[in-house]
Amino acid sequence: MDSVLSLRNLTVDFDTPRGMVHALRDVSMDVPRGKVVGIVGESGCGKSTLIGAAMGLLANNAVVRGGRALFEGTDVLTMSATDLRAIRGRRIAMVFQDPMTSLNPVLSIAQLMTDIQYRDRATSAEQKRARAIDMLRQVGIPDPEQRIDHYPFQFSGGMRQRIAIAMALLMNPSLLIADEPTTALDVTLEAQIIALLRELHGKFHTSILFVSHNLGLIAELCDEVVVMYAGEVVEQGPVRALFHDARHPYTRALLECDPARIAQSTRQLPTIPGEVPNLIHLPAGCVFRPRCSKAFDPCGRNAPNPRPVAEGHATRCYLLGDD
Amino acid sequence: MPAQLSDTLTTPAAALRREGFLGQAQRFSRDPLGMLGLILVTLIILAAIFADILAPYGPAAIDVKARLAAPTFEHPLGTDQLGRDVLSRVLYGGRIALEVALVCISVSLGLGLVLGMLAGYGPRWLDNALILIFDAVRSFPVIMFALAVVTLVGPSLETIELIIIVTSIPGYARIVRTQTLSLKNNEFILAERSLGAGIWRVLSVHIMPNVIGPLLILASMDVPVVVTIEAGLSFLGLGVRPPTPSWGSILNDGYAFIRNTPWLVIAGGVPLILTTLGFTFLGEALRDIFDPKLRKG
Amino acid sequence: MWVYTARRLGLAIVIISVAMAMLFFMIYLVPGDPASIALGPRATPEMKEALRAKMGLDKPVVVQFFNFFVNVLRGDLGVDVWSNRSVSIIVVESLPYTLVLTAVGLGWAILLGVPMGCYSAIRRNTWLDKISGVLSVSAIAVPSFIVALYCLLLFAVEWKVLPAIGAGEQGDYWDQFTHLILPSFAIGLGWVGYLARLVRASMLEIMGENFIRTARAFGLAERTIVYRYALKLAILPTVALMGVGVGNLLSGAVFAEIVFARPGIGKLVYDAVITRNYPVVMGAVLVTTALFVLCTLLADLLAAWLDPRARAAL
Repeated sequence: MDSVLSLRNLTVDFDTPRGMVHALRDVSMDVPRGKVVGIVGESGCGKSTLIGAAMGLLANNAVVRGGRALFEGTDVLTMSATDLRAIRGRRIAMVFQDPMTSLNPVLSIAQLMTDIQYRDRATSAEQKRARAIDMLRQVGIPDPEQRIDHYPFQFSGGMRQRIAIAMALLMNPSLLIADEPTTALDVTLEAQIIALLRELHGKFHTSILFVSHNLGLIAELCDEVVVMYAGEVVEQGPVRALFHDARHPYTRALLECDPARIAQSTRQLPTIPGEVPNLIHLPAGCVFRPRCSKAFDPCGRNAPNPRPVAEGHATRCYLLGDD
Repeated sequence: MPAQLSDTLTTPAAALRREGFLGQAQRFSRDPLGMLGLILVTLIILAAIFADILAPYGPAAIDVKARLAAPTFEHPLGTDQLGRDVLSRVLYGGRIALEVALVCISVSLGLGLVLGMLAGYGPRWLDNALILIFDAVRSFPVIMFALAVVTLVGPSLETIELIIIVTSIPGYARIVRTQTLSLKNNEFILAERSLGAGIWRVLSVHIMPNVIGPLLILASMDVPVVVTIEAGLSFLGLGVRPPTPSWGSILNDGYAFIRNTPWLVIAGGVPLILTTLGFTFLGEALRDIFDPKLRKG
Repeated sequence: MWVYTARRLGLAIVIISVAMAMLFFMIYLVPGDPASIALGPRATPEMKEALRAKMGLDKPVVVQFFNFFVNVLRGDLGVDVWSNRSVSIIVVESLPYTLVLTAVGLGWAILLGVPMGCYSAIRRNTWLDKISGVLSVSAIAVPSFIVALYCLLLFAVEWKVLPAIGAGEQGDYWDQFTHLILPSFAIGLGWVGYLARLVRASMLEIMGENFIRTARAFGLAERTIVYRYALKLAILPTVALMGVGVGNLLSGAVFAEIVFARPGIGKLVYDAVITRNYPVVMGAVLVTTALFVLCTLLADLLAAWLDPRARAAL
């Protein structure tokens, strides 16, 4: 199976004044070509670091301890800056979380969308503009010929996110990374954006890496899901399998806590007791053990390796049997 | 330069509040420029206080035979056109500079505090009137204003001090006013007033402590400005009256005799440079520790 | 946008009027006969009588001020007590020299300060950044007349590479240019430091913004990001603050003109102060103050106009 993005045993630390933050530990996952893969997890689980690694946009104090981040076969982490720049925006594109601050406020949309086509020296300015207008139309911006000359502040949040998606898909990338693209939008806009992503995915067959903390969206949009907790992938598999047959206690807890899935009306919302662990001083053994209701003896000794549940479905949990 | 996509650290501001005075002093000691500033300022203040003891001659002691001499062992900084020892004049000049700074800044700070609180807390018309006056005073380039006043009143050190005070007040008053305005409708103030607290109590107990910090930082940054104005006007001959030594008047003499000897200009300029640099470094370091928001650069 | 402009212009006029009032009424704060003070020590009794009649000193003070105000609006700033020439003409003659000096000083500041600030921001926390930080603070702290004196001492008196006195031959542009170098550098140096710090802070703030992250994610060249995206935006706050800088530069210009014996408003005022020539002093101060207020206003308007968000909002 041809993977657009392939992370293999990726381990990343951040060197901070307070100590070494172990942000990603032995993370392996794939984005198969033409599929939509979702990453779900709480704040601090390592989603942002993972995306940063995929694009070669890690902070200065990041230390890659091991593993590889292969984009279409080449390791992004060992690429030169020039090569990285060549693929960013062209073969990998990204849509960010906050549409209100992601666009340069003093350039018009036309200027922004022409700038990112700078690599196309053969195309004329008019052609670039036309291509931009066409893309804007495809994402549902009304009257794009006029509005392309407007500035970002003249658009609403939902519109700006559509523009961001248009910009990302303009160069027809192999992989689109969407980092919580609807978190800052209200529910109706959220639904529209998700529908838009689905439609564009159908049209362009772009592989999508969709990051969110919202299980409902993941269920709607994604083919496969990767569940992350405190820097590790605790479970991954096809979306149906995960939602109907989740094996990791954390995944099950997440599903139970999703307000959309609560059958009986209740005054108390379920939560997962305990706190996210300190990424500088990690507990021994399984990282979820302090909060796991099913923890038993082997959980405290060593962190479990991923073990298969079914075809394409794996989880890191001793409940599936010994190593 | 790779960009950052995540930041999992806590803010430094919260950490600062947990420190005490000792913690802040430690942080200050790690700032090399700040320490340098502190050392310079201390030296200058000590030199001014102990000028009597340190100066080998009196500042007005004339010795015409030794006029315009280059530095020698007897006269480490040389002599001026009347044969007066420049080192002694520089040391006593420090007194003038620091005295002007002390007087002007404390008076304008005090008056600025009062006027600022009046403007912030008082009725709207008073605020508008005061703002207008402040803006008008601030619209004069200071030197121009000084020259206008000196034309009318005649030059003297007191005139200079008056001018500096008048032109400094709006700066302090504005800060006090802003703070007062923002605190005026603050909930705890309203609560206090509903409990019957009078104006003076509100102003002195609640508003003033919040305002003192930024004011003191501004004052320390103001010292080099004040010293410069005094020196500048004395350099023009419009400040201290001879034979009182001021760094500016030494520069004036130096300028007149610049083709005879460079040492007067050097001797008059170096203490000014050291003073302005020292207080500026110190003020910046203090500001970095106590209120990084004030930093504009 | 036009309403905003009109409002700011109105405010500027009010401030200038208040300033004028202050200058006018200062005469009355001083003990003595206003006419003598206005006319200076060489006033004869006839001149004093004439001025009293002209100023209407018997009329109430407010009326006098009103007359004064009207005169100023008509361009009549009074008369030089020594030469009897119109103050307005004298001031207007000297003004261009000072303006040129100030403009070139500003030019130094922009030429050196902006790149310095920009590179400091890009090479943040390197030795280059730290050294330029110290240099910036020092440039701001050291008084401009000291810089002028030391430049004079070093370049003109000791090394004799640049001229010491005057503005150069009329019509000889190169000569005038060499005469400009030292004094404009002296007054511009402080601003080099100030601009460097301002641009650095502005750039750092902007480089941390999300839209810069977006630009990087789209693979735009670092140069494009720095100049087209960051610097363009970073310049905006500096434009507004340059207006304030003009007042500073003018003060520096006074000293620079005196130290280098250049013609200009500074030298004019200084000579007038020595001779107690109040009408000239007052006229010059008025003109420079008005200039300062208008420059601040212009800078603010320019800054507002350059930012498309502000342009639309106003």
